[in-house]
Amino acid sequence: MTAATWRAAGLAAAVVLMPCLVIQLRRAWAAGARRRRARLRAEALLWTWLSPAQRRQYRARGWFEVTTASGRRYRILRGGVVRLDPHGSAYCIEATSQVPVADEMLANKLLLETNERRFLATAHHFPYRSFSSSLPSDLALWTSFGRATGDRPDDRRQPPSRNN
Amino acid sequence: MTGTMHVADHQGDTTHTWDTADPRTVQEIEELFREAQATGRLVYRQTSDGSGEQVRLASWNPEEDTELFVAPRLAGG
Repeated sequence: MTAATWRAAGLAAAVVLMPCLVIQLRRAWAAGARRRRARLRAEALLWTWLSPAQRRQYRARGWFEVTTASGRRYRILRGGVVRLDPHGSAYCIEATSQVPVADEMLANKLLLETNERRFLATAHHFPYRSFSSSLPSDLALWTSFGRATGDRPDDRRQPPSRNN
Repeated sequence: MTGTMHVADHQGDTTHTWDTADPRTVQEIEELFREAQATGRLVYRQTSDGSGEQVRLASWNPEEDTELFVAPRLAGG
Protein backbone atom coordinates (compact mmCIF):
# COMPACT_ATOMS: atom_id res chain seq x y z
CA MET A 1 0.00 0.00 0.00
CA THR A 2 1.12 3.50 -0.67
CA ALA A 3 1.59 6.18 1.95
CA ALA A 4 -1.54 7.89 0.75
CA THR A 5 -3.54 4.72 1.29
CA TRP A 6 -2.15 4.31 4.80
CA ARG A 7 -2.99 7.88 5.57
CA ALA A 8 -6.53 7.45 4.30
CA ALA A 9 -6.97 4.26 6.33
CA GLY A 10 -5.65 5.98 9.45
CA LEU A 11 -7.97 8.89 8.95
CA ALA A 12 -10.94 6.57 8.49
CA ALA A 13 -10.03 4.68 11.68
CA ALA A 14 -9.71 7.94 13.59
CA VAL A 15 -13.09 9.11 12.36
CA VAL A 16 -14.65 5.84 13.49
CA LEU A 17 -12.80 5.50 16.81
CA MET A 18 -12.80 9.12 17.97
CA PRO A 19 -16.49 9.23 18.90
CA CYS A 20 -16.07 6.02 20.93
CA LEU A 21 -13.10 7.49 22.73
CA VAL A 22 -14.97 10.70 23.46
CA ILE A 23 -17.94 8.75 24.84
CA GLN A 24 -15.68 6.72 27.11
CA LEU A 25 -13.92 9.83 28.36
CA ARG A 26 -17.22 11.54 29.06
CA ARG A 27 -18.48 8.53 30.99
CA ALA A 28 -15.30 8.36 33.06
CA TRP A 29 -15.49 12.07 33.80
CA ALA A 30 -19.16 11.82 34.81
CA ALA A 31 -18.42 8.84 37.09
CA GLY A 32 -15.60 10.77 38.74
CA ALA A 33 -17.84 13.78 39.26
CA ARG A 34 -20.55 11.57 40.80
CA ARG A 35 -18.04 10.02 43.19
CA ARG A 36 -16.77 13.45 44.18
CA ARG A 37 -20.29 14.73 44.83
CA ALA A 38 -21.06 11.64 46.92
CA ARG A 39 -17.88 12.10 48.93
CA LEU A 40 -18.67 15.75 49.62
CA ARG A 41 -22.25 14.95 50.64
CA ALA A 42 -21.06 12.25 53.03
CA GLU A 43 -18.42 14.57 54.49
CA ALA A 44 -21.00 17.29 55.05
CA LEU A 45 -23.39 14.86 56.72
CA LEU A 46 -20.68 13.42 58.97
CA TRP A 47 -19.72 16.95 59.96
CA THR A 48 -23.23 17.77 61.15
CA TRP A 49 -23.30 14.67 63.37
CA LEU A 50 -19.94 15.24 65.10
CA SER A 51 -19.66 16.90 68.48
CA PRO A 52 -17.57 20.11 68.66
CA ALA A 53 -14.59 18.17 70.06
CA GLN A 54 -14.85 15.54 67.35
CA ARG A 55 -15.01 18.27 64.70
CA ARG A 56 -11.79 19.78 65.98
CA GLN A 57 -10.07 16.40 65.84
CA TYR A 58 -11.43 15.57 62.43
CA ARG A 59 -10.43 18.90 60.94
CA ALA A 60 -6.92 18.75 62.37
CA ARG A 61 -6.16 15.05 62.01
CA GLY A 62 -8.71 13.35 59.82
CA TRP A 63 -9.93 11.11 62.64
CA PHE A 64 -12.04 11.55 65.74
CA GLU A 65 -12.52 9.78 69.03
CA VAL A 66 -15.53 8.27 70.68
CA THR A 67 -15.92 7.41 74.35
CA THR A 68 -18.47 4.68 74.88
CA ALA A 69 -20.86 4.22 77.77
CA SER A 70 -18.42 1.70 79.27
CA GLY A 71 -15.69 4.35 79.36
CA ARG A 72 -13.57 2.84 76.60
CA ARG A 73 -12.09 5.25 74.10
CA TYR A 74 -11.90 4.50 70.39
CA ARG A 75 -10.35 6.35 67.51
CA ILE A 76 -12.30 6.24 64.26
CA LEU A 77 -10.02 6.48 61.27
CA ARG A 78 -10.59 6.31 57.58
CA GLY A 79 -10.76 2.57 57.08
CA GLY A 80 -10.76 1.26 60.63
CA VAL A 81 -11.14 1.73 64.35
CA VAL A 82 -8.49 1.51 67.05
CA ARG A 83 -9.20 1.13 70.75
CA LEU A 84 -7.10 3.61 72.71
CA ASP A 85 -8.04 3.00 76.27
CA PRO A 86 -7.23 0.26 77.07
CA HIS A 87 -5.04 0.06 73.98
CA GLY A 88 -3.89 -2.89 71.95
CA SER A 89 -6.82 -3.65 69.70
CA ALA A 90 -7.85 -2.61 66.24
CA TYR A 91 -11.07 -3.36 64.45
CA CYS A 92 -11.95 -3.68 60.83
CA ILE A 93 -15.60 -3.00 60.13
CA GLU A 94 -17.12 -1.71 56.95
CA ALA A 95 -20.37 -1.12 55.16
CA THR A 96 -21.73 -4.04 53.17
CA SER A 97 -22.98 -1.66 50.47
CA GLN A 98 -20.93 0.83 48.51
CA VAL A 99 -20.95 4.12 50.42
CA PRO A 100 -18.38 6.91 50.81
CA VAL A 101 -15.91 6.43 53.64
CA ALA A 102 -17.41 9.31 55.66
CA ASP A 103 -20.70 7.40 55.82
CA GLU A 104 -18.80 4.40 57.19
CA MET A 105 -17.11 6.57 59.80
CA LEU A 106 -20.46 7.99 60.88
CA ALA A 107 -21.99 4.52 61.08
CA ASN A 108 -19.04 3.33 63.21
CA LYS A 109 -19.35 6.32 65.53
CA LEU A 110 -23.07 5.82 66.04
CA LEU A 111 -22.78 2.08 66.58
CA LEU A 112 -20.02 2.58 69.16
CA GLU A 113 -21.96 5.28 70.96
CA THR A 114 -25.19 3.33 71.08
CA ASN A 115 -24.23 -0.35 71.15
CA GLU A 116 -20.58 -1.09 71.78
CA ARG A 117 -21.32 -4.76 72.34
CA ARG A 118 -22.83 -5.09 68.89
CA PHE A 119 -19.88 -3.26 67.37
CA LEU A 120 -17.45 -5.68 69.03
CA ALA A 121 -19.52 -8.65 67.93
CA THR A 122 -19.61 -7.43 64.33
CA ALA A 123 -16.09 -6.11 63.79
CA HIS A 124 -13.09 -8.19 62.82
CA HIS A 125 -10.72 -7.78 65.72
CA PHE A 126 -6.94 -8.03 65.63
CA PRO A 127 -4.16 -6.98 67.99
CA TYR A 128 -2.43 -3.70 67.40
CA ARG A 129 0.74 -3.61 69.44
CA SER A 130 2.62 -0.67 67.93
CA PHE A 131 0.32 1.83 69.52
CA SER A 132 1.61 5.24 70.45
CA SER A 133 -0.17 8.24 71.91
CA SER A 134 0.58 10.19 68.75
CA LEU A 135 -1.09 7.68 66.50
CA PRO A 136 -1.12 9.13 63.00
CA SER A 137 -4.36 9.60 61.16
CA ASP A 138 -3.20 7.40 58.32
CA LEU A 139 -2.04 4.07 59.57
CA ALA A 140 0.36 1.96 57.59
CA LEU A 141 -1.54 -0.76 59.41
CA TRP A 142 -4.32 -0.52 56.87
CA THR A 143 -2.09 -0.72 53.84
CA SER A 144 -2.02 -4.49 53.80
CA PHE A 145 -5.80 -4.51 53.69
CA GLY A 146 -5.83 -2.20 50.70
CA ARG A 147 -7.44 0.57 52.70
CA ALA A 148 -6.76 4.28 52.82
CA THR A 149 -3.10 5.02 53.40
CA GLY A 150 -3.07 8.77 53.08
CA ASP A 151 -0.69 8.58 50.16
CA ARG A 152 -3.29 9.83 47.75
CA PRO A 153 -4.55 13.41 48.00
CA ASP A 154 -8.05 11.93 48.16
CA ASP A 155 -7.20 10.32 51.51
CA ARG A 156 -6.43 13.65 53.12
CA ARG A 157 -9.56 15.56 52.35
CA GLN A 158 -10.87 18.22 54.68
CA PRO A 159 -14.45 18.68 55.74
CA PRO A 160 -16.42 21.24 53.77
CA SER A 161 -15.53 24.75 54.84
CA ARG A 162 -19.17 25.86 54.82
CA ASN A 163 -19.72 23.75 57.92
CA ASN A 164 -17.06 25.39 60.03
CA MET B 1 -42.89 20.36 62.40
CA THR B 2 -40.62 19.22 59.60
CA GLY B 3 -37.77 16.77 59.67
CA THR B 4 -35.21 15.04 57.50
CA MET B 5 -34.11 11.44 57.12
CA HIS B 6 -30.73 10.81 55.50
CA VAL B 7 -30.34 7.35 54.01
CA ALA B 8 -26.68 6.51 53.44
CA ASP B 9 -26.03 5.20 49.94
CA HIS B 10 -23.56 5.34 47.07
CA GLN B 11 -24.50 8.99 46.45
CA GLY B 12 -23.47 9.92 49.99
CA ASP B 13 -27.05 9.99 51.17
CA THR B 14 -30.54 10.40 49.87
CA THR B 15 -32.62 12.90 51.80
CA HIS B 16 -36.27 12.39 52.61
CA THR B 17 -38.24 15.08 54.38
CA TRP B 18 -41.50 15.01 56.24
CA ASP B 19 -43.97 17.52 57.54
CA THR B 20 -46.24 16.55 60.39
CA ALA B 21 -48.95 18.64 58.75
CA ASP B 22 -48.86 16.24 55.81
CA PRO B 23 -49.53 12.66 56.99
CA ARG B 24 -48.52 11.24 53.61
CA THR B 25 -44.91 12.36 54.11
CA VAL B 26 -44.84 10.84 57.60
CA GLN B 27 -46.13 7.55 56.17
CA GLU B 28 -43.33 7.57 53.62
CA ILE B 29 -40.78 7.91 56.40
CA GLU B 30 -42.45 5.08 58.30
CA GLU B 31 -42.15 2.92 55.21
CA LEU B 32 -38.44 3.76 54.99
CA PHE B 33 -38.12 2.79 58.65
CA ARG B 34 -39.69 -0.59 57.91
CA GLU B 35 -37.42 -1.15 54.92
CA ALA B 36 -34.36 -0.25 56.98
CA GLN B 37 -35.34 -2.57 59.82
CA ALA B 38 -36.12 -5.39 57.38
CA THR B 39 -32.64 -5.12 55.85
CA GLY B 40 -30.81 -4.91 59.16
CA ARG B 41 -29.96 -1.24 58.92
CA LEU B 42 -30.01 0.88 62.04
CA VAL B 43 -31.70 4.27 62.29
CA TYR B 44 -30.33 6.96 64.57
CA ARG B 45 -31.56 10.28 65.80
CA GLN B 46 -29.30 13.17 66.63
CA THR B 47 -29.08 14.39 70.20
CA SER B 48 -28.15 17.87 71.31
CA ASP B 49 -24.67 16.88 72.55
CA GLY B 50 -23.54 15.57 69.17
CA SER B 51 -23.95 11.91 69.95
CA GLY B 52 -26.44 9.60 68.31
CA GLU B 53 -29.22 7.47 69.67
CA GLN B 54 -30.79 4.49 68.01
CA VAL B 55 -34.45 4.96 67.24
CA ARG B 56 -37.03 2.42 66.16
CA LEU B 57 -40.24 3.04 64.33
CA ALA B 58 -42.25 2.24 67.45
CA SER B 59 -40.43 4.89 69.46
CA TRP B 60 -40.00 7.50 66.73
CA ASN B 61 -41.75 10.79 67.36
CA PRO B 62 -41.89 12.92 64.18
CA GLU B 63 -42.51 16.00 66.30
CA GLU B 64 -39.30 15.62 68.31
CA ASP B 65 -36.82 13.47 66.38
CA THR B 66 -36.36 15.62 63.33
CA GLU B 67 -32.90 14.56 62.18
CA LEU B 68 -32.48 10.87 61.32
CA PHE B 69 -29.69 8.87 59.74
CA VAL B 70 -30.15 5.42 58.25
CA ALA B 71 -26.71 3.87 58.53
CA PRO B 72 -25.34 1.34 56.07
CA ARG B 73 -25.23 -2.22 57.32
CA LEU B 74 -21.82 -3.01 58.81
CA ALA B 75 -19.80 -6.21 58.73
CA GLY B 76 -16.37 -7.26 59.88
CA GLY B 77 -13.77 -6.44 57.25
